[in-house]
Amino acid sequence: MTEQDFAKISVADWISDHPVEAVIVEPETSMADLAQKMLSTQCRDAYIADPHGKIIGHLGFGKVASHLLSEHRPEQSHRQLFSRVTEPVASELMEPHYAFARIDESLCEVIHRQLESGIDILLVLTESGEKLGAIKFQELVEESLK
Amino acid sequence: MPHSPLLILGVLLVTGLLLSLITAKFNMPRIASYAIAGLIWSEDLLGGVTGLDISEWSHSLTNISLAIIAYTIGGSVTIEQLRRLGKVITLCTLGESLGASLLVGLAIYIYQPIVAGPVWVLAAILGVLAATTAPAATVAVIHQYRAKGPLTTTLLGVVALDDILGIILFSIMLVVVTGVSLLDAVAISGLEIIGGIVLGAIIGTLLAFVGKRVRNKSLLLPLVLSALLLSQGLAQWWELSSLLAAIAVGFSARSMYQSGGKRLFSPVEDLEELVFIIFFTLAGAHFKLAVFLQSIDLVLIYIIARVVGKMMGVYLSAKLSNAPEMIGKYLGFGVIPQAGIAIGLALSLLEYSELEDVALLALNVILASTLIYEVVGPFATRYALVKAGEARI
Repeated sequence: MTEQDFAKISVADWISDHPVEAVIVEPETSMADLAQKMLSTQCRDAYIADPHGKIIGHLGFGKVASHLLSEHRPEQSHRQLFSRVTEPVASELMEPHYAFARIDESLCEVIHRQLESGIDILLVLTESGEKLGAIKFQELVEESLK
Repeated sequence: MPHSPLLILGVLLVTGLLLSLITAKFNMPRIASYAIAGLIWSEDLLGGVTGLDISEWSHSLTNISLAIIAYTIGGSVTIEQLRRLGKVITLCTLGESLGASLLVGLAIYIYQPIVAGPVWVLAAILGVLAATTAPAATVAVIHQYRAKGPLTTTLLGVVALDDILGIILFSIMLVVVTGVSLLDAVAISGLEIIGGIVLGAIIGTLLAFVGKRVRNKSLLLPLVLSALLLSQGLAQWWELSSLLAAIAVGFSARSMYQSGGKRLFSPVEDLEELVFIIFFTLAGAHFKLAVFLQSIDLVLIYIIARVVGKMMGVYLSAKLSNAPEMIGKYLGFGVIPQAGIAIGLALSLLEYSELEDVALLALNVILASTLIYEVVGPFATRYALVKAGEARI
């Protein structure tokens, strides 16, 4: 496959050929439970969905681990201190502004977004914010090298 | 030496940084190095020899630095988190902050030191400044001894919360002591306080609205600083409380953004060290030996009354909230450190011409006491954690 062919692949075609599981949890999920889920699935990204299935935020493994291991940090901001003391749930630490893809986009548009955001598993969402599929960054890189 | 503010600021910052790098090898606290760097350039030492003058331009720098701190502190907590902090942390914070404020204020008022102006103003200023603590010092000790348990958790909550309370108390005190008359003060104070909060809430809401839509991360710091500068400028123009406005910007931005706040706060939190270098070097440069020598008694009264006030406040509030006995007994030892926020707030007083002499006296008292607390504080925190059986040594 040439570089040009690769970039022209649509997101719709890609997710049907490369199905990927993503970690999606409820807003009230504790950080410890979320970490367990991410570890068992080997995913570095988790998404938070409301009761109707709409994705409302993203949490990276770094942020989850950083919270869980906060006692090992010798310096903490006031924000981190309150977070440490009050044991937040997923919806309180999630990033409501996160990168995602649409089904009608091409991969070349998605790659840039994935590089910028540092997200490993990028969700493909409907207009109403529900999950249609996911794109794994490693698979994109692997394909681009072929 | 040329009176270029940029040159003087550069000299202060470079001296502070170099000294902190050197003294880090001897485990000396960074803030003490910054203060000593400032001291080197004070009027009694090199500042006098070189004719260095910082009084003209440092106010704006102090104000924006303080606004940055107030913004990050305002945005450090949400209503939900405040609710979850629980009765013990909330009451102990109120107890130790108000206990220290009342006892310091009362002790200074009763002592009646000779000051240019009413003694109650100095008592009010030092009383309110006594409320804040230094979370960095406490967190460092907790980390060092890998402490864990009810006292540790309560202590972390209290040292985070009392700075918010301290800045709010200071803002209210400032409005009152700079008021025209007692009668006018009530009306004007209300307007300054409520107006500042409303202004900050509006700008914070707008900041969250725009912040959600900004994709480019590198624009977030300029966005937050612009909003903060706008809030400070408008607060000054409309004569509202600029500190409360900055806290309200942070609090409303965090609440409306509805997340951990990393995008809107993390870039600004990275500026905290720079802000503290500015605070401590400027405070050190304002140090006057003659004022200090005149105020040694005040420093002692302040140090003792603040510690006793915090201990008594904690003891009473722990009883009131049915906290475990060890919290009432030992939490007070953990809230002794005092650092950047108290210094920054004291520095900001120099801007008010009507408070000039009292402000300089207060700054010297706070600077001297901070250096002492910086030495004693970690030992006291360690003592509390060991006694409570939560330190692993």
